[in-house]
Amino acid sequence: MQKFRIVKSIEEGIETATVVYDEIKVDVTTPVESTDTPTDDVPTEAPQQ
Amino acid sequence: MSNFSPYANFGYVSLIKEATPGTAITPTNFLRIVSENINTNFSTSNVMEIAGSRERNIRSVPNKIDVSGDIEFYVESKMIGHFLRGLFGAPTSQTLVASTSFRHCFTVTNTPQTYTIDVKPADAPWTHRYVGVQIIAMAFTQDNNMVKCKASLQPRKGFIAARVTTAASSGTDLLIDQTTGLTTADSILVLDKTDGFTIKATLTISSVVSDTDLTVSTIGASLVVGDIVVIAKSTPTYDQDKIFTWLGGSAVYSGTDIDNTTVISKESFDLDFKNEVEARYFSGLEESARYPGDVITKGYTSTGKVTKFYDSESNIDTQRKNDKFGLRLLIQGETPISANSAVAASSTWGSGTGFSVTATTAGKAGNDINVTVIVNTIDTLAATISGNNVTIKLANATASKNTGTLIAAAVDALSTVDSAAVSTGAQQFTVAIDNQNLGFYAGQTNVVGRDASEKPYLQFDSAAAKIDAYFPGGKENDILMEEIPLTFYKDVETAVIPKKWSSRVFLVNSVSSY
Repeated sequence: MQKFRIVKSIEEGIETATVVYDEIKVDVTTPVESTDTPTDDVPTEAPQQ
Repeated sequence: MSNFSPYANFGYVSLIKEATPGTAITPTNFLRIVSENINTNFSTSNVMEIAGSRERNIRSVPNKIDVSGDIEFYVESKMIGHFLRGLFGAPTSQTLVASTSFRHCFTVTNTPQTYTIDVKPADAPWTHRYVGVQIIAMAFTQDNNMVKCKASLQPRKGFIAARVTTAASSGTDLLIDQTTGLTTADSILVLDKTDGFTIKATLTISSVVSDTDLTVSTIGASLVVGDIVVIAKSTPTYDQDKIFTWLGGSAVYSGTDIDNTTVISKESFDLDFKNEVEARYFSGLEESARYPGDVITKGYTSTGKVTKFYDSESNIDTQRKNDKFGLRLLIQGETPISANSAVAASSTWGSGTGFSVTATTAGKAGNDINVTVIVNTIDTLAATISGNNVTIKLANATASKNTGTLIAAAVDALSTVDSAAVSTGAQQFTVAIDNQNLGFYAGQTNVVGRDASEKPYLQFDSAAAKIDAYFPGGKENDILMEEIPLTFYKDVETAVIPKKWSSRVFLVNSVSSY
């Protein structure tokens, strides 16, 4: 089991929610106003890498 | 003393959709009209030949019969659907409240539908019938605050009248020179050929045997060759809503795209939708072969005009750079269809184990929220929202990162929309999916967003409007006006979320289908 987090950012009026994993942390944007919100931790199967 | 009153208001127009294009069905839907000028042109050809005479007009032959014309009527929520179906093709209809409320979406299709239309001239005891009628243009405007439509018609056949070809005084076999356009639901009148008015017989049709032969109810009068056969009139009954209005009943919206518009003020509007058609004539021995054998549908175009006094340089700037923009005309009725609560728009994605997206706020506005699925440039799943535009970016390498559950988690984190997995949410998404509006994703579970106690409405959406050449010009003691001509293009120039259509019309009313 692996947990993911949602990283939210807002840039030029575009709101982005990115799915990131504890082990595989990949951010998609460079947030201007970044709120690293550890919300909705939902267990899910680990993605195959 | 006239035979019957020639006062136009005694007339009527009725119509019905045809199951087979060009095959008549007796119309049963009656339409109140402002005017009609459907002209049946029984053309002739003058025979020009050398025949030992200075006279040139000596002989002629019958030529083709072409029929075309317009019907003008005030727009209300029920009957307008027939004309939109005739012009655009069959709509996608959705039930909002069972047996009560429905939404019909008309888009440009390749198969416009045909109608049989009866027109009763003044107080005549008969009607003229047009068969295989295509609606080739609709022009909307407002007149004295009533939304008005002029529909241009291109019939394929007509039944104006026929002649008895064999005398009959008994039996049930009636031979005439044209039966095309008649149905077994019709009654016919046989008029005395000497005055074209006196009714010698009223007969019902039990069978249309051939193009020249009818089986009718028992003939109890002496019918002679040349007597005139016409279709007996019906008694009109109207099932129409209140007329849509402009001031107090309509709003114009504009924005960078059709799903992100804000209301703008306009003093008047014109919307024109047009199918180019071409009537083609075929050989044939029958009288009805003089009518077109087919009407080929060609190109579709839509244009319009909005008008307001000049108080900004914005429109000239938009025209100067040939910018496209979304334009909406919303025309709303007065009386709620039902006393419903507001409903949030939603749709599902996937094959039963994907995800759903729902507008956070209930109401019709949620129908503008749209979702596009694209493949990200990196192996990360993300979702974005800009205005009403949601974009889901799929991780580009690892399919298991794109399950319905994970997509729902990302989308649900955005404001304005909620999202949840459907069933297990196990479906993995790997390919892009075209832009879809909530409540209108074909093949999926949709809930159309609705306002509380929703009123009937007619919503014209133009995805890529552009302003044609114009310039405000003034004269002494006048108000400088901007009469802005518009052409509505198919939206293909938007990079990420092209709508891929030019015109879309939503009609919400109490009619279940068209």
